[in-house]
Amino acid sequence: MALIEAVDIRKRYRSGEVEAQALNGVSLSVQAGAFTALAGPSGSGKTTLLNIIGTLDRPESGTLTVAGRDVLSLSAAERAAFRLSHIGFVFQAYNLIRVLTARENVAYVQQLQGVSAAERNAVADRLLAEVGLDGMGDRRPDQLSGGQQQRIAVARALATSPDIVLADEPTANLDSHTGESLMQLMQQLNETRGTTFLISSHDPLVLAHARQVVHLRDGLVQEDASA
Amino acid sequence: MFDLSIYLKLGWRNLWLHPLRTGLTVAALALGIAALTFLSAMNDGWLQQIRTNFALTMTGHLQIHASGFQQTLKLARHIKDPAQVMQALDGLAGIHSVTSRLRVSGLASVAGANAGALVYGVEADKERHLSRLAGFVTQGRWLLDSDDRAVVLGDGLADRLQVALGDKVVLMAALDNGDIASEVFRVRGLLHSGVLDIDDLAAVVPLGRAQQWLDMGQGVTDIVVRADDFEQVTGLVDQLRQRLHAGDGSQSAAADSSGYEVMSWSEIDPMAEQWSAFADAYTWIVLAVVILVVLAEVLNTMLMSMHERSREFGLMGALGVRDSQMFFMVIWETVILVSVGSVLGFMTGGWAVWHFGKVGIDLSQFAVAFSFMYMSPVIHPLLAFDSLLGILGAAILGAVVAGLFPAWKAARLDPAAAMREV
Amino acid sequence: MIFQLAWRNVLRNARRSLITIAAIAIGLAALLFLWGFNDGVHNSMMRNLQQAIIGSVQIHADGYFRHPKLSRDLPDVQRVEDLLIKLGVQQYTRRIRTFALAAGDDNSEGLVLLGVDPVREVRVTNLHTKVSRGRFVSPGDGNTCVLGATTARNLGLTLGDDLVLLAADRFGALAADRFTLVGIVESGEMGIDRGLVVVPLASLDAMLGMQGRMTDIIVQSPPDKLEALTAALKQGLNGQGDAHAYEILRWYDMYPMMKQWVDLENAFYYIFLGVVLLIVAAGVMNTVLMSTLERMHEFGIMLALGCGGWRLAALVGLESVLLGLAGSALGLVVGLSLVGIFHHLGIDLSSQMDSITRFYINPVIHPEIDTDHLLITLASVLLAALLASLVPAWRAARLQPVEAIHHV
Repeated sequence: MALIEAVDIRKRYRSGEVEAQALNGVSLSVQAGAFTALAGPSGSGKTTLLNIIGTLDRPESGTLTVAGRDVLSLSAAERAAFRLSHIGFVFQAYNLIRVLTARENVAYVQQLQGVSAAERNAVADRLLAEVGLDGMGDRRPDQLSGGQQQRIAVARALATSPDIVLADEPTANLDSHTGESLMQLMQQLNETRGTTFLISSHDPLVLAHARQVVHLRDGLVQEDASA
Repeated sequence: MFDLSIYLKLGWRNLWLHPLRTGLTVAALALGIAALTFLSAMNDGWLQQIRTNFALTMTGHLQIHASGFQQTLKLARHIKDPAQVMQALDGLAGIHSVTSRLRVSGLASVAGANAGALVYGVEADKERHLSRLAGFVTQGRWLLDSDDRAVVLGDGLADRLQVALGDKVVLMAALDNGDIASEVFRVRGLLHSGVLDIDDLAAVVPLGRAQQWLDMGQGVTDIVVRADDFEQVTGLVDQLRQRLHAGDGSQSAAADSSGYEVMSWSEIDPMAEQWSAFADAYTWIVLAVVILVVLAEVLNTMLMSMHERSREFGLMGALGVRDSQMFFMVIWETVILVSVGSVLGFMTGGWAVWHFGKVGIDLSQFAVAFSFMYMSPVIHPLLAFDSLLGILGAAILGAVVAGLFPAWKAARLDPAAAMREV
Repeated sequence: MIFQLAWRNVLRNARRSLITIAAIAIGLAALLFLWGFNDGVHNSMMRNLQQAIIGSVQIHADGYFRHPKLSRDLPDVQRVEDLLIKLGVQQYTRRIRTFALAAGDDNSEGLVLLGVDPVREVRVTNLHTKVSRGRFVSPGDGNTCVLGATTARNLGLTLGDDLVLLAADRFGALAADRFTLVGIVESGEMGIDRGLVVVPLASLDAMLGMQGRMTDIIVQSPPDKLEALTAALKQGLNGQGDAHAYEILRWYDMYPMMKQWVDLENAFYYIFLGVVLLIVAAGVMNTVLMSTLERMHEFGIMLALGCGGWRLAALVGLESVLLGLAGSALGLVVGLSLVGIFHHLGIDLSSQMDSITRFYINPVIHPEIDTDHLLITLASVLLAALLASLVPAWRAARLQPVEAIHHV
């Protein structure tokens, strides 16, 4: 069975007078271990779909199974717990808690799970090394570049060893060089750890790295092409 | 178990994201708390002073009368055998000194003028150790044990009668058979206590002469006890009531006139207690209003901070932080803010209390009002532990209340919506 | 133009504006309520004292208050009363006051002996309303008297009993007369319940041989007219030639302690006014500062477009003025409403304190606010709001356009 199985997801948003970011019956299936891009112009519903899969948002209709769980039937508290143990997030920007150091940011999610300080700090340091930020654990976000911040976000997303990492336009605020190295990092982590990545983006760089691209336009999946 | 230390850290660091804002809020809080601490200490200092002055000026810490005397002030209800009472006082711990008095209300007259007077027959030397009366003498001298027909008058009374040292004054009072007896005294001293009831009414004469004049034999009306301190009073009153099988002075005419009543200073004149109750009510209203204003300020700060950080709250929600955790995190942050302000406020207020407790605050321009209330115009603030706890409790409780609304907003935040907001 | 811009900024940031307005309004309303409570206590205290027995102003022969010899009676009662009528005063009465010794069955008590005009007295003081048993002295009474409850109990007297009063007459000789107790007064105030006896003026006149002479004229006056009335009386009575035949004493000239007490507590309130003002100012400064921070980018663009630094400062300042005005208006409405509502309902403190009638305070407090306190408080809050906006305005004036535009 697929890791993510979404069937006929519908969701409408109103932003002022304009109906925007609507999903008009999206079906999607992502296998475990996949490295999938969700492509489409802005306003096509990428973020909405990602939020629904990440249990941050709920559709008006449709069915959704993530990691074998019918997530639409979960309560708010159950969803929070589910996110904590099964899903990692990387957002476009403002990923980090400003007042925490890089290490504390990465360790934070494990702390929510009640992991001991020694253990979670060890995990955080290992992950920081893995994303190429060895020795920067004590820096605060405002002392780091945008690319470094996104790397920390990736490290944090992996800290709880989730089944899936959802990344929403992770390269949008980065220059192409930094974006490229971030994509290489994620791809490498996908290969070495087997973690599933679902990345929304209209950045050609991202699409070039993806093994599977799902195109979203006007709230519908247009084609399901494997790279 | 869920580890709280991260929230300590988060809360603390978030507060210093905007040092100026947090500084202003903390300063406002500290100022409010310091003002309250100081006010409360002034109040406590006053009340302490009222108690002490009241007890030491005249009344003593406790008095023993024949049953029903305090209510009726009838000479008929006097203590016929003071020695028996003195025996009961023997061996009681915590007694500073004891004296006997004869108290009767009468009329003081000189040629062409007369005025109501409260006549006190006192044991000159013992009285000097017990009350401050002797110390209030401003002209002439206090009574001597060897004096016979000497009187020390309140200066208001002397002014009314227009008498000076050496003049003769006739005192008149009714005996217990109803006859009016009069006696001539010579003015040896004038006293000024600041207490109206004493300055305008008191005529102090030797006990022996008063007993003879009023045909009382060895009888006295009051046996006045000064305790070592206020803490001893309740215990002494209880013990004496037991030893003398005495009442508390609330039973009046109907009571058996052969018995005794033992009354503490606050039972003799509830004024000080009434005043302290009123001052407390007053202080609490001021406290409530100041705390309200301070908390509006805290709420204001927390709402601004919440609004600024809504994206961050959204991120935490996305990561899997539960609503309840978010709620307590904001409450916690408010508590830190208020605690910092309170500690600073207590330190500032405490310093002011300590400083002015040493040097005193001179409010002599309000002297008349003070002496009327048995207060000295120089106030030494004194912080009672209870008052401190009250302020602290109100501040912390207030912090939680002020944090509730922002915390509730944080918990209800929709992560997807918060993240969308740029 | 700048006014319009400021106004729109206030409206656009409705949430932040509301927070600031609320901070000012809460502060002002709280202060007004405090004053209301304070003034309510004080004014009722002072009213009660004046109405209980002593009046607002007393007129005696000069020196009588300190040395009440009956031979020092009022030189010309008619002249005083004519002047009072000319000044439009309606609440006044005449009395004879002296000291007396009351003899009971087996004890005696020194008393203030008041001879009152039964008809006029009840229009000037409310002593008659404090009669708990029997009645007040009334016109046509012979030798009747009204006693305080404590004194009556001490003397062992009940209604209908006779009381012998001894006092020096006008010539210094001892006079005695017998009065029938017709009423007992219970006010809670010691000076009245103990140590006072009231008899009809005519009976006392006869007993003391006064032949129509009076010692006191008591006038009741509203507080705001008191000073003018006193001045007019002094001018009218002591103004020409016959220097200082009269003493005209306001209630606080005779009994200064309560006035001092009120002054003292007001001084404390001014301290608290200062404290609350600083807290409110900190709140306003905070919100205005935050709004400047949030709008850095916008300010940068304005500066780039050629708006001068001081014009920007004026804009920020003007916004604060608008917020200050709105907050003060709201606070005024809320504060005065609170005072009004509680004035109507009364704040019942009787559970906190059993009885403070000793201090002429009613345990149910009806807040009211003195105009000068209201104006001072309102002006201070407005001023504090303005001063608080100076720092952010100054910051805005010193902004560098490029820096500001890049500020996130």
